[in-house]
Amino acid sequence: MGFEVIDISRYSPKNSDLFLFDTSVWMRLFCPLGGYHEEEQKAFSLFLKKIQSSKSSIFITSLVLCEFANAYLRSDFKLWQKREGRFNANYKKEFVGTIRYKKTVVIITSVVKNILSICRKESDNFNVLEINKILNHFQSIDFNDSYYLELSSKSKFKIVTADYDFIKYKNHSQEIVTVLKRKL
Amino acid sequence: MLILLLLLDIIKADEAISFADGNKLFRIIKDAIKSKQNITVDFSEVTFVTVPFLNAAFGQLFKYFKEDEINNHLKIINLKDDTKLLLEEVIERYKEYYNDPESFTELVNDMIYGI
Repeated sequence: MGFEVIDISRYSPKNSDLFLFDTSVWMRLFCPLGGYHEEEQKAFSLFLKKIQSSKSSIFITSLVLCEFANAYLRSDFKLWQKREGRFNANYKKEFVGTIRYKKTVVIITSVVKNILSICRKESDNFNVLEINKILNHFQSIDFNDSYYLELSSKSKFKIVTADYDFIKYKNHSQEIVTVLKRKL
Repeated sequence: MLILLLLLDIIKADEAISFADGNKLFRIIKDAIKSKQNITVDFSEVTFVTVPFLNAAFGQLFKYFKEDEINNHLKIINLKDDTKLLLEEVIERYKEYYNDPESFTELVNDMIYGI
């Protein structure tokens, strides 16, 4: 198995497949973003449906969930700022604790439960991953993405992503499943 | 005339996942509202719902109809409480998106590429 970019629309998941969805995919599946990148919403939701039918496995780590919850909340904060016209508002001092914040946390809580209902929890395996390899990837891509590459290498995951960095950066041996129409 | 739709019959599954499945429902609702019919969508036995499904089925309606028209003709029943909250958010954000797609996209880009 080597670096390979797989067109999500042409790939049929197999029962034996092990997938890691990154945060960019969970955002498109579970964070309301209106008509934002509708083609990607179509592609990733259809892929999830195929996975559910084929009974292949989706793995998730606490780091992915953490990124998802934070990104969802930050998107809500940005929209709140725009709605309220409070562009200089401070996230922690002025947004956290508002009625809107509390409502969003309730929504995220139920979404997280939904996500976990279709995933297998994966430990971060930090004790067995090679930190030097992670730090090497980190020279070119985000630290979290570097860690996902190494985790996936160790656990034989195919990474499902909407993050172009996984395609631009080729110094790894992972299979990347993504929407090619927009990306290449 | 009142149309009663069991979602389970439309998507042939208890999981409402794909945008394409949402589109099937959207087309039926759109035709009903266009011809001034009242339509009720029953979510009974649907256990799992994604945002792309809700976007396709309900968000897109705001492209074609005013909110009053939708509220007057469409009723959704037997929706789980958490799905109801998520649907409310889907609708709010879709309205914001249609109000100004460019600025909404710019705002989401700023946020999403910072992950």
